[in-house]
Amino acid sequence: MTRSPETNGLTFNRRSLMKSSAGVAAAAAIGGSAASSIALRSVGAQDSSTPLQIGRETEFAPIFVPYHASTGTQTQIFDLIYSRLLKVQDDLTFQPDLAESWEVSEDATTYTFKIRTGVTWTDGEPLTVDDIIFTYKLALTPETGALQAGKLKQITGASDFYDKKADDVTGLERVDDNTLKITLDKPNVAFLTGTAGSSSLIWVIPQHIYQDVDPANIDQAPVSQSPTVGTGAYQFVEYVPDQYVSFKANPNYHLGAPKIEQVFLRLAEPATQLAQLESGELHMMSRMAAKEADRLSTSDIIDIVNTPGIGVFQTAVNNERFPDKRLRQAMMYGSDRKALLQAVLLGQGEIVNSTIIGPDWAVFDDLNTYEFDPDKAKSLVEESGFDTSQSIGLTWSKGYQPVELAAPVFQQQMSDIGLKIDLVPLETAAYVDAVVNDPDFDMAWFGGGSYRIDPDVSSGYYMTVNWTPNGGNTTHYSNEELDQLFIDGRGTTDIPTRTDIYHQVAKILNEDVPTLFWWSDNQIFGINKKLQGVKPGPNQYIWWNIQEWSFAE
Amino acid sequence: MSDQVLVETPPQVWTNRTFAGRGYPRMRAFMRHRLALAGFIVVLALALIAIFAPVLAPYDPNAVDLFATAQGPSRAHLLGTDDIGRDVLSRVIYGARVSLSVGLVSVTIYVAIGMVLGSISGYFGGWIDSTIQRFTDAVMCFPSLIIIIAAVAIIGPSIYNVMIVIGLLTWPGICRLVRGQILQLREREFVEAARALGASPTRVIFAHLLPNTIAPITVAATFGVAAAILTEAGLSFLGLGVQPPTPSWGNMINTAQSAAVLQNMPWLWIPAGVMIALAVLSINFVGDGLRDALDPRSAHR
Amino acid sequence: MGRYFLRRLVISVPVLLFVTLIAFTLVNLAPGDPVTSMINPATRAELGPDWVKERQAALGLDKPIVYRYGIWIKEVLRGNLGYSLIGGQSVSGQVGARIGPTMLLMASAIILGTLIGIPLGMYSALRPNSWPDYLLTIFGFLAISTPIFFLGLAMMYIFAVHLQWLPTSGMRTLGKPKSVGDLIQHMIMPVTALAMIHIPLVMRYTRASMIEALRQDFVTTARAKGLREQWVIVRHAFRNALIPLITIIGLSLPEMLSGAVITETIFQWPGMGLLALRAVNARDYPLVLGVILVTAFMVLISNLISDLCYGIADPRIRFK
Repeated sequence: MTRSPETNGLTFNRRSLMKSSAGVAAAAAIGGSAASSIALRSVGAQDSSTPLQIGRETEFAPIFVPYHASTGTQTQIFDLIYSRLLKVQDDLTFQPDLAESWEVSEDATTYTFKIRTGVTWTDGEPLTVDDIIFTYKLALTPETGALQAGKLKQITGASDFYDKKADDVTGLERVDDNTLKITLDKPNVAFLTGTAGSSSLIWVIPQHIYQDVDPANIDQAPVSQSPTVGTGAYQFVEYVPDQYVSFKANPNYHLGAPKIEQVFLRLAEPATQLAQLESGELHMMSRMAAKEADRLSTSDIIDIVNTPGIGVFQTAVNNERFPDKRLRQAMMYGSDRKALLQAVLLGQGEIVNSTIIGPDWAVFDDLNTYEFDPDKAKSLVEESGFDTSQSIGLTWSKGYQPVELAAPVFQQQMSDIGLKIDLVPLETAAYVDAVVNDPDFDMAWFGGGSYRIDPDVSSGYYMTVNWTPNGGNTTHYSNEELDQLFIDGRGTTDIPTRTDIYHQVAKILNEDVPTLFWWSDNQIFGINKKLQGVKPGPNQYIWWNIQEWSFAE
Repeated sequence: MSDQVLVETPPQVWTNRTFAGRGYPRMRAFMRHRLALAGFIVVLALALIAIFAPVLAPYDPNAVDLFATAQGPSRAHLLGTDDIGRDVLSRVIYGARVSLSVGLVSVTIYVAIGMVLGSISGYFGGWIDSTIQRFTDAVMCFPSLIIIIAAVAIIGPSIYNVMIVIGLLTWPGICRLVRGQILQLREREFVEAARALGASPTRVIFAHLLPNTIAPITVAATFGVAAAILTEAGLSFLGLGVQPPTPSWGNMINTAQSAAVLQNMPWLWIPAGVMIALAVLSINFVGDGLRDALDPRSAHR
Repeated sequence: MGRYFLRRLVISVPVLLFVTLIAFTLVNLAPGDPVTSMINPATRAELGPDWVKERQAALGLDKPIVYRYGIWIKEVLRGNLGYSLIGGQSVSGQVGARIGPTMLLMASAIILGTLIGIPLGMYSALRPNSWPDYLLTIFGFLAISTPIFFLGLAMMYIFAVHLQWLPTSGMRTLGKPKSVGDLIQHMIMPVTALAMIHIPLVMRYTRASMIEALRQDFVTTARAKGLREQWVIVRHAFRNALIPLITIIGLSLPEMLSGAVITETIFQWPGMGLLALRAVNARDYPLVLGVILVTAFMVLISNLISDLCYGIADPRIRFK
């Protein structure tokens, strides 16, 4: 029941891994076959008046301000009612949204967006470049407490604006009525990449509504309680706590009027959601457990859509306490990852040997695969000279089933190679304290992340500047060569150059194993066969094409 | 206490009585109660299973086997294996240890608290009594599961913490019971006599008053053990019970939350479910039998 | 009698204060706070330590706990339960919205449980130690020894998924206008699950006190006077048996509330329990306290009401 960090989770909790590691690689087209009209309970004719019902977990902060999108449910809501400059589609590529087209300079410092004309807010006001600039400047106002602020400080002049040393952000430039130019201090080809909640692509909010709101109390503003003015495919109707959020179609949506009139985002526990899906009440649920997907694979009314995840399941090893890489390598050799993946996820995932798992051009295939080899593991433990009478604590944020199962297996396999592991499951909050806020742990299990989107994502977890609590480098791993490679890698738009760099990165990570690499687990969706046109993308972008969805007659 | 009539009305119909006489007739009354006898035998068996778990369990309950995962019952594994190949029978047997100790320890804690506070309250009366009773009122008003959730979230879920939290929140019933008994007893001749002979309050309470409250407390505690086992199962549902990999019946039956397990892998949850039902059922029968046996009036039914 | 209740009401003020003090301390000792529980750890790491401190200060979390309790209690005494730390909605509004559904669920379960439990208990009492009596006893114990979450999930799979007779969860069918019939359909499963806690309780006490009452002198007298057996049971024995039952129902309320937490979670019933669970997990202190305060108050009031009924049912009791 823990509230859960969503897209970029560095943690697990009850059911959060599935949700964190979302992803899709141009997966099977689903549900589309016309031969899917198997009679189910007459819930009423499935036409445009049938409301679409989508399941979400109850772990949701009811804050309808795009700057505070801490849960996946929020990011989905914002994707529905607002628009961004660009959107990400199912194959993880950027597509035009509010910007018709965009351009990145060769040195990766200038981003130019051509803004679509004729977009209107649902109250009839036209959307302008000023709305976009307003949105970004509000994110850079410290009182707002925007989750995006950190990332946006890369924009020239943003830090001065944030520190109130300047009245304007020089790097945010309105070139003409339809052109926006963003300039960065340092080159960063991955500037637009990131997980929804803290991405530099913010959902654009209406200046004419928000300009009078005090940033410090933005959550409490009436407009934030009922954000009915947007530019998304749907318009917010109401939020009933612990029940649903409802929406109605926006006939003027700039990418085409939606075919389904009404959408309900139903909030329920996974067990309840599954029953709802099976009874035909719910049309779609995400993060289905592999076991349930297996059981429902022959269902008459539900299609199972299985897509590769973007996150990586890992165990952080405190490098300050266990500096010898041979010990960490021994742990890799000592773990039967394939058998474990089969046992806990029925094989629904891909074994990985570094976190450089995508896009395809960045992947390096010639890595050590650490095949299960207890004897080699034993000798590596010996070589490292590790005092095996010492026990090693392994912590995780409790509640996520695959970790609960994997932990005792790991413990036993480590004991087979002479290492003593103590299991220390923690509540999410206590886990975050012990691993991120005030690091004090030996080993910590975590998952999620958006590694597959861009190889630069890994820099957040392995660069020295990103040591916790200033960044996501929980292991306090430090490697000057790697740090430089990451800086070079984001400084150019040239793919062959980047490919070369990230192959080296992958080799270093694979050799040093600062974290133990397990797998990237699949994201499994259950979709009612009557619902057509769904192409689920990474978690937060399930409905990137929702205007095209429809019900089969 | 003027409002004693209202507050005191006990949940058990027999409480307003004293229990004189002991020994043989009660034993016979208890034995005659067929369900109670059956319950007693089952409880005894469960206790033996818990005590001799290491001897009885065919496998180490935490030993995983990735080559024998999620198997149905077979000769090698009489109750099958779970997702990582642990033997379900062995886990059910060890689960008896965990679940029964959760029940026993938490009840011991709250009986101790309840007896101490109840006898102080009943013996001394006056402002001490009022204070303790208001405190009891407060604890009784707690929506206990909500507080338990908050408390377990704070100190972290573990078998010991679950025991302590249940124990610390469930004593008011016992406290009132003891207080009611003592209020009635303290004016009786034998207490007067003890006091007249110069016995200290502690001595009067422990030597003369408390022994007379043992019967109703035993009955209440018996029911309490059953309730605590169920509370642990409920906490497991919310993810706050005894933590895996330690097996408890609560966290084992909780695997049925997955519809796939509920429907296709019944060997994972039926044994634990049966054990919970069996334990709670037979403990309650024993409590019922004890009540009948210890209540002089219902005995000659 | 009026003075008696006034006194009990006055006494309940310190009781409530005490409840809140314990709750406040507990909730504040919990690791994590609303700021860190709100953001995902990876983002948290990107933001740096200062961001968290700033947000904590903005929410007043940097002040000592005693000071915060003082402020909170001052506002509560003024009738202001404060504002949710997450989302900023008023606590009284959020809690208020949940009282209705929870009361509906609990009251229905209590009424249903009582209506089923009393006749079963009476039946048992009239034929003590017979086979039907044993069967009912076993049923009763079986009902309380089945974890409520298991019962709820099993019912959901049988009646909603396989038989498709009932909706799985929630309070109404989405996309359709609200109607009483629809509401009742949604209530059947959660109310039944919750009533399962209550039926055995009522049954057992009815049985015990009926047996007792039937043995009393006045019943014997009534019989001796030649009153019809049924009349004796209803008019005399049952009336006396009812008295402890009223208290039992009053005392079982906290337990019902606990059951409601789990029932509401399974059936996604928008009541207090669900709110409490979410508030605790989000470390939304004002909301947690609001829920605890209001539920404790509800329990207090219902105890008072059951006392009142007690007095009406048994005129021999005089309130001093």
